[in-house]
Amino acid sequence: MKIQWIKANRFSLFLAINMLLALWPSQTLEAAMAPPPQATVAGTVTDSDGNPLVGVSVQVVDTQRGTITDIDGSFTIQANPDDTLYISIIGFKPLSVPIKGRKTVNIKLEEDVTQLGEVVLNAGYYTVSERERTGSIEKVSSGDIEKQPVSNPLAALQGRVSGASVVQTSGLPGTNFSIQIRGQNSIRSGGNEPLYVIDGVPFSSSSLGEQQASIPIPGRGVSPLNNINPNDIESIEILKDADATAIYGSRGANGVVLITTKKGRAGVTQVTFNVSTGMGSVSNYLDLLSTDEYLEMRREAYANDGIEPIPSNAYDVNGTWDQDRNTDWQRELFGNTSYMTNVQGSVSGGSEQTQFLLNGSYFDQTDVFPGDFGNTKVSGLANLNHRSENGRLSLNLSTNFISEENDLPNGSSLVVEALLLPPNAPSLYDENGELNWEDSTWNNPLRHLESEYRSSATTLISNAGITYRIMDGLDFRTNLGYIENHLSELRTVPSTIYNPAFGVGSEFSLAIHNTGKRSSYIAEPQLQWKHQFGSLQLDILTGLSFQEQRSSRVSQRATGFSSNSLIESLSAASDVSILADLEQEYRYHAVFGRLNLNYKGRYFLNLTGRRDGSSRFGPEKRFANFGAIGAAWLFSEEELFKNGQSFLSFGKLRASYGTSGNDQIGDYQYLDTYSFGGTQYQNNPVLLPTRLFNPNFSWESNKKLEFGLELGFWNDRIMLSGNYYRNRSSNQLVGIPLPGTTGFSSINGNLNATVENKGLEFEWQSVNIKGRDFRWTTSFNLTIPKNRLVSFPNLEGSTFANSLVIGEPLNILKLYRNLGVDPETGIHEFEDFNGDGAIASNDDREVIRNLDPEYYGGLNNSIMVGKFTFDVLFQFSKQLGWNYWRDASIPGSRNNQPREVMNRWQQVGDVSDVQRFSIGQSIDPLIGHFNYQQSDGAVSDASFIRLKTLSVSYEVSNVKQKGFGCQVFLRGQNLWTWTDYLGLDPETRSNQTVPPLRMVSIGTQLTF
Amino acid sequence: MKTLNISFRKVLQAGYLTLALLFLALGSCEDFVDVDLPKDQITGEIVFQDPATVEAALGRIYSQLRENAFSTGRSSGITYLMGHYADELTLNAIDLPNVQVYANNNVLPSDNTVKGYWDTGYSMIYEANRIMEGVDASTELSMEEKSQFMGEAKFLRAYAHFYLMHLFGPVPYITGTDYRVNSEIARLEVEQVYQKLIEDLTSAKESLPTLSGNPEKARANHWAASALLARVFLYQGDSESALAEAEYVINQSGYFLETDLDNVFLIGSTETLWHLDTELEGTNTYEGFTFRVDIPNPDTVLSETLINSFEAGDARFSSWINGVEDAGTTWYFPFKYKQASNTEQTLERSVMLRLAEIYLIAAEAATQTGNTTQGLMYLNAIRERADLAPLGASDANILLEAIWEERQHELFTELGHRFFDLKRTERATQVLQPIKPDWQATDVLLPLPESELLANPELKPQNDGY
Repeated sequence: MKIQWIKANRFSLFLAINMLLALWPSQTLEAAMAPPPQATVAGTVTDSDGNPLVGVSVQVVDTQRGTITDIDGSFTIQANPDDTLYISIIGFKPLSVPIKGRKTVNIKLEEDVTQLGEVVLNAGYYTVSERERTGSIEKVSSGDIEKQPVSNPLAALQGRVSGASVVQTSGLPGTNFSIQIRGQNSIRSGGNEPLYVIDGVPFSSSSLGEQQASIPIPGRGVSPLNNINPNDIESIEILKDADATAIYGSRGANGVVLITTKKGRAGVTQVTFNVSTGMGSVSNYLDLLSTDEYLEMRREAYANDGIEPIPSNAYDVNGTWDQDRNTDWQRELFGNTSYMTNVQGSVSGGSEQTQFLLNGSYFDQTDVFPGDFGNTKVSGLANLNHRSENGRLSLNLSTNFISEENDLPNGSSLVVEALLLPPNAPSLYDENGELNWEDSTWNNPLRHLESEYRSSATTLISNAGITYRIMDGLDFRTNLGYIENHLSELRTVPSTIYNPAFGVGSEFSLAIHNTGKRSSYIAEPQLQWKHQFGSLQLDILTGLSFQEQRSSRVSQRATGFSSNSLIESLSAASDVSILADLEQEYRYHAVFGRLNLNYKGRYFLNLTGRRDGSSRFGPEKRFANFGAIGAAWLFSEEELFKNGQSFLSFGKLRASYGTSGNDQIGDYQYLDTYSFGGTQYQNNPVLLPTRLFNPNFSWESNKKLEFGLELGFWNDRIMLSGNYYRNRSSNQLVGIPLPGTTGFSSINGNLNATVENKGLEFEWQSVNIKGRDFRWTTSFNLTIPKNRLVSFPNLEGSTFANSLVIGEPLNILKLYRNLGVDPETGIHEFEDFNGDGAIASNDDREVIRNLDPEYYGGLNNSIMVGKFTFDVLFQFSKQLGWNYWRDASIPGSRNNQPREVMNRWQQVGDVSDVQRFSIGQSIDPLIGHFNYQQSDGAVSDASFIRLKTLSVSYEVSNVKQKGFGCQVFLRGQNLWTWTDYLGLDPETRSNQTVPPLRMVSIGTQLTF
Repeated sequence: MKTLNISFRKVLQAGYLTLALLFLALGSCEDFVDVDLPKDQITGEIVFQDPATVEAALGRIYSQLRENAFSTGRSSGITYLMGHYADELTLNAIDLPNVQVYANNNVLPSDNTVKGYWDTGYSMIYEANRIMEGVDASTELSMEEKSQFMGEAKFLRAYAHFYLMHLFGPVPYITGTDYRVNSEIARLEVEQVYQKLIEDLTSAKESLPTLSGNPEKARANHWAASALLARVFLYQGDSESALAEAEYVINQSGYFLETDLDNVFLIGSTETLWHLDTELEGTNTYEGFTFRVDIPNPDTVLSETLINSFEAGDARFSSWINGVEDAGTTWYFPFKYKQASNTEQTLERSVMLRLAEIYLIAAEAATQTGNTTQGLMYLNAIRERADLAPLGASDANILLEAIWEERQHELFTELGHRFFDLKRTERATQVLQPIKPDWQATDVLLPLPESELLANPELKPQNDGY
């Protein structure tokens, strides 16, 4: 196929290559004409206190010559007497110093207190300074990421970024975080992932897992993002508006997450060791009934239901089980301490021309279940940068390899059973240390430990960037990248999960094997031209993008083993069936460009555009155009503010408008194909039409509008910014509902439905106190999102009829209205909206509850006192959520309950929220309970404020001053939560998985 | 002046390069995003060039009949649910609300099973139509292969429409695959549906080979088409054609009634006209699993009405019905299919059409045409097999009643026969009202799925009573 392509395009390739080659001679000539330097200049660079600064970049302006300072802050450089030196290092304000004929130039750099001035943002294909950006870009850098004892890069974004809602789905190590940037745009639940780009290479976050295998992982299986090691990350940038995302065209609609790995820095070779260990435990347990209360509930339930005597199989209450045992099953089954170890070592250094970095990490975390389960991650990162003598050619090579192993029991079942088991249930082990089945009167919960899930994943991210300066201002750049993911999973369900009394043998044991692989390469040649025309600075970028991604997966289900010890062997199974055997190819091609105009450093205009082609669409619909316009006015640069003693030090108005798209519909959906139907007829796998085919569907398009205002006061001591955005997503890629007479319930197509996300984002950053030994900075962010389904043709006839309402958010629930417990009958009552005398139909679900947060954000305080640094991050969210009742069993049945149930209705006249106890065998209380689970009673406030991160560090020795650095630190994650939520955790909003863990770790970092 | 010159040169060179890149772009775009087909899918065109893949596409429809359609032996099929809906089964459980609505004749337009019957029915019809179009356009298949495949597809299309009509009344008869046409299609009067059924089945009968002896019965053959045609004629009221078609099958097919009742539902039964292959060697029928009872007081039992209606000595009562006893109470359950779990080799398959029904069709049709002697002959053939004394000559109406009762005992819990018989003989209300408090005359039809009426208003109005 590729050879064919080359043949077909031989002519244009030939032409293009020749044209490129034709440019070389003229450039070489020009370079040879540059005059040689005349003299040597030496000096030292110090901070405002006179301490020497190491690794400061010293550049001769308008030449390619540069150097960096030594350990004592000194430098020497060849320069003409009339040249100017440009001195820069992160954390200090850069300085331009004219040499003016001097032989020695000593320079004092002023610390950049706000750190806002010259923050450079990675916008993917280009970089832009925080000051001059026209788009909406958020940055979280390694400093913040490293302060948290987390193993998932998305965890580091929680509470730090406005406009991005990041939710942890479970406290199990190695499980997923979900992220949504500026709300849900697509009606399809699987179509709301942002685009992830790691060092320029798009990274697919869709799981290679097999659903039947990855049951212990909540959500859609293991996300490849879990494999990324936060220790390897230099920064994470989030692109939110049209101006920033349009250059990602058809994949930018849900925002873009750019992950940049660490790079080597010029300077003396620096070795860093970072070792920390930590302990964690479940952050919250439910307050359940004690044995006395439990038995009271049970006896009352039997009495209420008129069942007498208590039946012979009610072992908990009829005396079969010990009536005085009292076990806290939550602590028993998911109350262990999770131990974490994190070791990281890195070596970095290099000259002005060549820099390198080697980074190796080992991370290990056990989980909170009984038994030996956990997550291990090993990663290595190597980075090499080189710039040629004449500065024309620069190379950047980076390779990141991560290997992760995860070992989990069927944890969800353990959590569920811990909440349900009667407190007087028997002990787990008998006298012989074997699992206790108590004469078959219960199912020992530890049977779930027999069933194991093991996954092993490896990820290779490798990229090379080559930049060649054709002439001053004109760069040719190529970004080449390759990513490979492997995942293998094994879930075993041996017959030992059953009570041996049932006599179930290993012939019923089950194992599910899954192996998945994905590889992807990208090549992106680009040209960038910068030029100054008087007061107008022009920056033009054009480029091409070629991407190919191949995924394959084979999944098998094996049953019938002669012995459980052979359960992991496929060949030992008597019956092996194929669950999936998939191979998918995705190709992607684009032309993109950017034109940036900067007039007098005050007026900025940014035009971006992209023409995209994706193999996910039919031949007629493959290509589409996306573009955006962004503008910024730095009004604080106007004379009005420049003169006089204005307290306003920075002021900028921004606006942007444009489109980006979404192609997350899966591969091959436009094809008219037959696929294998999973069953057989006459020993042949059957073939069925894969879909009602429509080759004419195309991208989902998202029109984004944004206004922003950024203000800095008192020399940028206080920085304030506010954004208003409104995104409208139309051409929704969903199954357009069809009547069944067509043979299908829907056809893939662009539905003329519109979803709107609008909202306000605020950020505050301030340096409250700034002194030599005391510094206090605060940052705060708040997002107020609003999601709304604007239109949806024929909603009533569609499969979304019961889940969506026009004018309401997508993430709503339609519920019965709970009218409380009837004081006469003691049973829940509900409003009969359609008046048909029954609470049954969808017409009675008239109460709408929105599960999207009303607002969310974070507050971070950082205090430096002498050698101590304190960081405190609070995260908050105002929201509703399914509460305990969603999955609860009927109060009075043989299951434990939260203490709240003791306020139940007991006799006529009682007013209560909890209906009368029932064992669940009389119809009225049962129906009352079922309806309550689907009523507004089961949805309640799940707002929370969480002390997300607390970090204290003490600097024993400063590397810049003594050449040896030593820092000791104490870090905590999820330390405290304030919430009224009735359930395990308001963030996961689930009672079926382990809540996020409260982790505390201590560690040391050595640098020399 | 110098700087200006350089600027111009730079601009020119930048333009030059951009042009070069654009050449690359234009030359490559369209082709680069072409991808190869995934290995687990084949395009529609290729499927119809190879008989093996056409068989696999037809196999899909048969597997749907077995797994998901109205005809499945699972508890979502009509054998079970319409057994409850009529007077064959009784529901004891209180926690099966989706069965309860059938047992109490309170099915709602929003009912999921109703939607399932409708959707799966029409999805099989779509697949049959796709096969007809594909086979017709195929350049590789031989004439014999084409004829065989066209016949099977037509038969299956008719089979699905037959049941849809008898469950829902006037329904659209779909003969094409264009979703734009099919999404706005209107219902067809019952009489017109009959015409279409007769056309399809006559054509299918002609196309399908008349293999004599005992050919593979897991696919529809000539005799299956003829047998279904006989039933369609009988239901339609064309007794002469029904009789002719039934006698054709009885006399020409080379199939004959099993003498031992225990063999009727076995895989090698000589009276089977058409049955469904099981998924794997060793698996047996869903019917056997669905009706199996191990413990006292099961969810579903045979109704007292049915149990009490059997004549003493009816061998079917002892052979096709089983019971569980506890403390003096017996719970009876259907035992036509005796295997509830896997066996070394498959012993039973779900029977879709069998010769005993054709005998009863012949009996009824002959009686309708006035030939009671002939009617009696066919009826007694069935009675004798059940160890019952042959009936003597009688009035045509009395004989008809006897034939209907015989159908109740011969065909109980088989694909809704009882309900369809009550309905077509217009005895449904008379028989069911006394024993089913919520029964209404309009309950002879199920409601059309609510979502269907919303998606295609051409199907309105909803059936009476809903």
